[in-house]
Amino acid sequence: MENPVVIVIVTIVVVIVIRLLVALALAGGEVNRLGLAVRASWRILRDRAFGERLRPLFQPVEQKPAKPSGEPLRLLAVLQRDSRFLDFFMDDINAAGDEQILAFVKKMHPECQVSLKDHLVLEPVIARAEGDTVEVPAGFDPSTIRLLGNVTGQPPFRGTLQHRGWRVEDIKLAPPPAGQDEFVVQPAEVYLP
Amino acid sequence: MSASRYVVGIDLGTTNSALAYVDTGRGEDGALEGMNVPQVVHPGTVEDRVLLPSFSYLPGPNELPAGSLKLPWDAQRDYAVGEFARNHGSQVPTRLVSSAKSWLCHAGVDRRAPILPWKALEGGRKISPLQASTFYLEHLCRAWNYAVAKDVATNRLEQQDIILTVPASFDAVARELTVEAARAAGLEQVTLLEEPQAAFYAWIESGGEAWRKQVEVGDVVLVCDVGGGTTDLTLIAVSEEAGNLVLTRAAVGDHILLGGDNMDLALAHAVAQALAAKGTKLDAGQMLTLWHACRAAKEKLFSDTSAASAAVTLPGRGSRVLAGTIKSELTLSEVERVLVEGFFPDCPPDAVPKQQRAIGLQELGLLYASDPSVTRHLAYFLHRQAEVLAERSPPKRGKKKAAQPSAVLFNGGVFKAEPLRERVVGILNHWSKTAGGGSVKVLGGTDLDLAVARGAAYYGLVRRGKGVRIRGGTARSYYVGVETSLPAVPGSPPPIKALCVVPFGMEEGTEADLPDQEFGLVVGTPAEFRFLGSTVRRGDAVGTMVEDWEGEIDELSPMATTLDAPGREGNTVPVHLHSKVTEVGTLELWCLSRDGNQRWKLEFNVRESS
Repeated sequence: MENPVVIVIVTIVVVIVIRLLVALALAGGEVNRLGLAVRASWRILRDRAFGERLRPLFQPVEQKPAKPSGEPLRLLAVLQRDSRFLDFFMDDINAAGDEQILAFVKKMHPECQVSLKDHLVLEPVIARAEGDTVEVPAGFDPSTIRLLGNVTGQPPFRGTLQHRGWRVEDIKLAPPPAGQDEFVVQPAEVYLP
Repeated sequence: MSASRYVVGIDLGTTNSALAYVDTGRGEDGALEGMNVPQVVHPGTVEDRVLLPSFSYLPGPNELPAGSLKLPWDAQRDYAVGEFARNHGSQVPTRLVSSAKSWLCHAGVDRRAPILPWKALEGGRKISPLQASTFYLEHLCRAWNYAVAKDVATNRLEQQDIILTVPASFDAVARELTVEAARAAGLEQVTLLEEPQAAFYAWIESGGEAWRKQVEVGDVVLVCDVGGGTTDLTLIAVSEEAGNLVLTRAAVGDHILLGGDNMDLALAHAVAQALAAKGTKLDAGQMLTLWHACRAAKEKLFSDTSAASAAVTLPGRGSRVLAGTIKSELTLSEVERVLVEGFFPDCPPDAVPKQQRAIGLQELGLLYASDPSVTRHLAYFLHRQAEVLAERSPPKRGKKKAAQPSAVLFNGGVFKAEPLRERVVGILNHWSKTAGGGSVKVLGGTDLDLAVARGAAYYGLVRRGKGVRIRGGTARSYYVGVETSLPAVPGSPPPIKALCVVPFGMEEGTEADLPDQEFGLVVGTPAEFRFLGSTVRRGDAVGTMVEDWEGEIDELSPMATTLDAPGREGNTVPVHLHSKVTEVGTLELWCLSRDGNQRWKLEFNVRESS
């Protein structure tokens, strides 16, 4: 056992076995996956095209600080365009006179309603008159029905419909033109004299 | 040529255009339908609309985000037509082309020259009135090919029979230019139809055969068409031949630039004055918003009979929207005062529209009517056509002839307002009774926005033998100027006599020859004829020479030709005139050589008259 050659060989074999064991452990004990890993590594060496296809997976894309999607702003842009929605809510309501507020809201309200109806298909969650007695079945989706009052025991429940709920059945908001910065929901306006 | 599957009516309006059609491929089921027109309504948003506003917006480079004006059939579009053009352009008048049709019949400008937008600044993009009309027709054509024809080549609009409407008051030159615009848009198979006639056809179509019970022999129907920008008046007479009702377009009025837009603007001014009295001054942008707000308020008041007033609110211009909000209101009584009394005042049957002749240099622009009173224009029209009215309406038993129309058909968005219809009917009744006639019948039941396009499509069917056709021919008599032999007076052109080349009511597809009057034309040099027209001289036959025509005959654009006879330059060739009204509805004048072997066509010279 003093023979260095034997020691080297044994060490190499042990390392290989440990690596295989580690690989098997990483593969969660699935021999299939281990086999795939081995085949893949050989194929990467043999098949240049295959290697090139895999390369991007190993080169993490430069992580730009992700800009959030502008899509949620589309409805806001529509409401601002058609009824000055954003201007209204960002304005100081206490600084305006009651008459101005009333006049503006009376004008804005129907415009907003048209915009909402044009771009969203709205349905009640429970299509019954508010005040009606309704049944909440077993296995109901708690994200669509909120139980209030003396809640106890197991469904089905019977109760009074307090709010019909709103469900958006469809969204009809086209993407803005290619050249439009979606984060600008109201362009600045410059009047040329 | 076999008949096309679709018969299409196009209303190329001053402020709105529309298209209606019949699909004859569906047999008896082929009903009249309107085509929704996809158009840019906001930057980057294309939506269908019933009407195509006749406005073009010509943006500069990089003025709008890329892709803003994209259409499903044209991703590279660099101008806008329709709703966005109108709305955005109202705030950028230097880029907006509007009322192209009124410019098309303006004899004072070169209608093939890039002069629009009229308010464009030096160096701005400009197009000609002809080009603008082409834009609208082209848009309708591409929209059709996209939405209706899809991929079927034979269904493309270029392949269909098209009836294109023009104001009855359009003269031969404006009609010719309209056909030219259609050709430039790729539409070759067009036939012209007068708009009030189209409205009348729409009325016939709307009731099936019921119309035969609503009018009777001896009726003269006034078609009163007040659109967004123009007022167009026509008389259609009902007579009888071999037991059948016969309709004849008996007279048309002059071109009056007065319409619904003027009325809404008048309301805006009334509100602005009330605000100014309270110390609130409006800027130009707010004035435009007010104009639109007043239109909406008027529509609300006229449609909701219980409302006594409607709010007119102008939000602040900047982001501080509340503090800048201006509130006002329009009451029903104020709307009635401004519109009914302002535009439809009571007046006697012999009223004459006020003529304001500007002293000195008049700013060149559209020749808006100087009298805003529709009723005075109406009185003047009926008065000028009194002869026609008298001869058309036979005396009823025991009653004397009433030289007034016996029925009225309204057309144009303005008449959605019941009080305005009532006022016109009231005045017509009054005039009729004064003249010894009875009450005026009101013919109704048409869609005031779409009647012209629908009636035009229906006329397409009439041309194929289905239904009754309104007779009429040319709405004017036409003349060429012949110089008198009087000595010229320095500073004033020698007076001319008017030689009738086309009599009033000359039918489409007919020709006339004037062999007795010869002209000597010099080969190789341009020859120009002064060209004139009249809506009131209906007795002149071909060849009639009118010496004293002032007030009855108006001068139109001259017609010119160059005789090309190689090798004979400088020679004088005796020619005589030959006139022709084409099936399309345009007018052609030819110079024929004495032996009839050579002919030269005269073309309208629409350049600015010097």
